[in-house]
Amino acid sequence: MKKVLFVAIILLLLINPVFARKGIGMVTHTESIVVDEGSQKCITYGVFNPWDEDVRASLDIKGDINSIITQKETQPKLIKALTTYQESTELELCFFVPQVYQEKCILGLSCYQPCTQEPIEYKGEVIVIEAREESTSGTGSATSLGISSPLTVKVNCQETERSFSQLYFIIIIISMLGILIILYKRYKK
Amino acid sequence: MRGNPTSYLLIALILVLVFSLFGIFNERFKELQEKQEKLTGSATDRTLSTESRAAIDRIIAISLSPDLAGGIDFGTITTLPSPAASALGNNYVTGVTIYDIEIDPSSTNVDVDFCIKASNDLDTSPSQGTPIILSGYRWSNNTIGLIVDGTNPPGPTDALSLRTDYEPSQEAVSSSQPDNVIYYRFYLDVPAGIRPGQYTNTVFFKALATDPLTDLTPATCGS
Repeated sequence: MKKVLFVAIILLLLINPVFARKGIGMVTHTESIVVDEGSQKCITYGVFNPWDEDVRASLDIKGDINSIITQKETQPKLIKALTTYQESTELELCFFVPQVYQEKCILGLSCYQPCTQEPIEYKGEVIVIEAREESTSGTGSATSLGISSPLTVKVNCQETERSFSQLYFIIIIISMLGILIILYKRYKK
Repeated sequence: MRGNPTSYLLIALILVLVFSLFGIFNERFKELQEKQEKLTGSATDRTLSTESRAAIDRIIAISLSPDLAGGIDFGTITTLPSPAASALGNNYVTGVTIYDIEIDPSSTNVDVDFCIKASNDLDTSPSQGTPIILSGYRWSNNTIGLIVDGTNPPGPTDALSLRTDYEPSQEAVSSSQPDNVIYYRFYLDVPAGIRPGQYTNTVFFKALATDPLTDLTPATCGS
């Protein structure tokens, strides 16, 4: 009886070999951020792995947001097995948003920001990819697994009123120079 | 001094100077006032209120079955042409596929859309000039043929061709058991006259949170 049971177990293991599942988890804290012009902002994505085997993961970025990214985790990072979403490894993504809204000026002076145009947005998606190097032994395909999250970066337009300070300053300099020249000529006489 | 044009000019310049000084002080005063209002709020619109906020993170965890993670293997194909060659895991144990993707129910708090694509035609490395074209590489899953588990395969005639752009493979998959597993099968048409070699490519699976607003429309898979 014991022999039969032993053979049955061996056969079962041969027929249905048990391998560990491999996968990845992603925590998205936000899908939309507002950034001031000319400023840098960073966001993080949590990556975890509730399965039995360690995996390596990296971030891939698609869309317009690629043009404003200054820092991203490009090298695959080791994500330990049996981690919960509370124990996520944080992968950071930083953006620098250039000056995008046009100021209105008089001869390059007395500028103001009207903020009448539509808000400028950069859209894209952030994908956590499980890096894998396996390939098939015969004809077939390697497989790749990713989790995607959309991201919108909205550029904040800071409305300002027209300021004449620079214009006044130039007029003050010119008039002071004029006064000094007139007084100098008068006292010279 | 009377009648001297430079005297008039001097007076005019002094007036301009005084006017400009007044203007610059006025501008500065306005800037300070705006700053003060931003810090304290103006007396007229000051209200007593507070905002309540609770942010819930979006969490998704998915895994491939060991055989799918190891690659989709069609083995060695000896008969040509070989229409609808079946991947080795399609019917591993009498009609049961061992290619699946599972959503971890304890680590996922949204419904999930799945997308699928392939990198390119199946080709040898280096290429021998005639690849196995992608339109002959087909996939099927639970949504095709109304199967609900890994058994009862939808046949190759029901399967869809892989493309190089992502397309939805299953939408709004619940993270609750038993609906949290998607079973796949893969078929490959190998034409006659194909040269010997190992033909490979990569199949990509992508998961994204189902948008409740666009639940009834096809998932936006991206590129």
